[in-house]
Amino acid sequence: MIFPSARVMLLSLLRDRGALAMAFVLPPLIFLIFAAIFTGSSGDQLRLHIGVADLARTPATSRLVQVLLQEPTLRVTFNDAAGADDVRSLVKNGSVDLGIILRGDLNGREAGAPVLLVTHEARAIAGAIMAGHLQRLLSVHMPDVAFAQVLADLEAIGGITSEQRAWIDQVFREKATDAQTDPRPRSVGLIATESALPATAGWAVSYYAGAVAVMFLLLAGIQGAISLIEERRLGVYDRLLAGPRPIAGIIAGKFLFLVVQGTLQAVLVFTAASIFYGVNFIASFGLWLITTLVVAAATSGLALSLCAICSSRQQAQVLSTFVVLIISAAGGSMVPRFFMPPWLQALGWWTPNAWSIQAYSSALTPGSSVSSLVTAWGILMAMAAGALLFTLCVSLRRRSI
Amino acid sequence: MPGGIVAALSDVHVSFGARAALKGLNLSLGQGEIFALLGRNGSGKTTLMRALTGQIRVTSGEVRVFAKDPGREAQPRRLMSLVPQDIALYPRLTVRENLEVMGGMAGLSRHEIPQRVEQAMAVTRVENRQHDLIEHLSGGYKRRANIAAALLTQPKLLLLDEPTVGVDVEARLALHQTLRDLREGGTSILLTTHDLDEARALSDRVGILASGRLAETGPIGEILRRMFGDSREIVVGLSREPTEPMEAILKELGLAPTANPLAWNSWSAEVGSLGRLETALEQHGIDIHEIRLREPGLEQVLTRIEGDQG
Repeated sequence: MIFPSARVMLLSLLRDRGALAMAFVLPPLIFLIFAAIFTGSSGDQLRLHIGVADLARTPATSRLVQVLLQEPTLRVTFNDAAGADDVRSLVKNGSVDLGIILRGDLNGREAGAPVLLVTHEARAIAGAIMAGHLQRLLSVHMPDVAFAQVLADLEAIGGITSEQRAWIDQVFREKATDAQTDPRPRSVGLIATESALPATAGWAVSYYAGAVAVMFLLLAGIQGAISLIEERRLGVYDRLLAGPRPIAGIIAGKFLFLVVQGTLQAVLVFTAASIFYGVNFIASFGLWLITTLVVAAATSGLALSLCAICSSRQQAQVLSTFVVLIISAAGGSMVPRFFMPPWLQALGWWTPNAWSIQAYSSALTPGSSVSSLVTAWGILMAMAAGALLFTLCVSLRRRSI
Repeated sequence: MPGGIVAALSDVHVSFGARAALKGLNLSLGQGEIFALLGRNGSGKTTLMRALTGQIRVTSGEVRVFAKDPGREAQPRRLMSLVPQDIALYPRLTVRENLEVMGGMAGLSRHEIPQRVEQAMAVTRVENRQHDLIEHLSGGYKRRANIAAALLTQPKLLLLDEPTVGVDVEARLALHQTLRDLREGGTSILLTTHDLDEARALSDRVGILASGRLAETGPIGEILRRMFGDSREIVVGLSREPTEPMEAILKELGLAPTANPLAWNSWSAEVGSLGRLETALEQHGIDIHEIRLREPGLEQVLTRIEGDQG
């Protein structure tokens, strides 16, 4: 009874081009789009677009403009004649992510802060990112300006003599000249960064591969599980229930098919991730495969349970769209969970998405062991078993209605 | 009753909340018998079918199929098949594929399935369309395939819920022949229908369900004679809606209004009554466009039963 039920789903899927595309073309395609978006905004390819106006036109501000123009992580729109309002307009109409108005000499504080960042509320994070960039650029390329602030504070508390100050100014003038010809950092900074994972392995993308895979496993699972409702509507269940075979076999067959379909979908998504972003899931294929199977089991079980409680295809589509979108958003399939407030991150652990992403992340980390995955696997399997049991109970109850 | 008892319901009551669907129903079905259940929508036909298949538990009374309770034991369900009113097949699978998966779902082994599929297709005469998708078949072939799926387990009792709804005359006759062939092979058949002519053409006995009770059982000819004797319905079609004085005349002539304001009727066993009535109507200046005799149909039967039940 299990295999005939799975065969029905396979044949029905193969003869429905729309469902085939939904199941096997859309997931890798959406993954590639998501990966392109998120690697651009949270990875090392982030390039803020800034508009710059130099109102002060001092040697220091001119040097800063040059530094900004040469900085590879920025895209700069600069017009020598641009005023403050021009930059504000660029920010308002979305032409740039944020604006920088250099309104005074970098060494002076009489008229307030000399550098004004103009941000847009919709892109407020760009202001924080740019403030960090500026600190880094000043300390690397214009250490005289950065150090001048420290000196000013020392002078204010009487920490250096006028002779010492004259010597320091002389040294920094020479350094500034050198910096213009050779912008490389000359000293080891306070902070250095390193990735916990080897470079060029597509680790950032693996998050989205898992996130997108689980979302599409849910969506395609529901498309498949809707056959429960169709069969009920067609009278197939009436026919089968009049016979001696238990209904559990039909549900098991559908579950089996959905798990296989989900595994194929995950293979496609991760293959795309491997080809385009270097995500090496083959290196830890065993852990990846088990993770995929438990993720597919959890999503298939959830899809079947959602369809079991619906009495029409339309009702199932509305309910499942609602549920899938909510749990995908809360579970981190749409936006990385580390962007979320703590309460939403905590809520996310109630979704299969969060555990699936966590499991994929652990499975793809070099050197990870089974023990690091046991919790996620266990919870996903518990979700699958609970959902299947619920589906069975609802279906048996319908027999007596 | 030919052969032994295949299915029996004794004083069966089924209620859904406060609504009683079956009220003390008694029925037995013999081996090799075709029994037609007639009744309006909501009269309890489908509930009776479901009680027989064990899909619903009866509130009180006893259901026995092959001497066992189908609600508690699987064995009687192995010996029967249901043909639902809808085409309970997968529209995007071919006839053969449907029969193969249905056979698998019914518990047939991989070795049994090919032979059973061939047999079922032969009995229902669908072999020539076996590679067509169900959604591409005509209504008649869909119905035949629907029955073929129920024959895979070689049931001793076949339950058919309105098997000929929406099919043309030719397909209906073919289906009737299929059912007769099955009866000849010893299969007992219980079918529901709204069509008295179908019941007359197919069944050995009929049961007329009204408000959850089996109001009449027996051969259809006997029931009609018992209810109507030799009477036939005389239907008078008026050219326009009658005025009050005209209504008084029509009633005086023994006619009664029907649901259609232009149609009045009466019952008579006399051969000459039709001509006399036509003459009387002409004399009173009542303009008619037709006057005809009609055999009693299901509507007349049910109307009379409901009238008797008050």
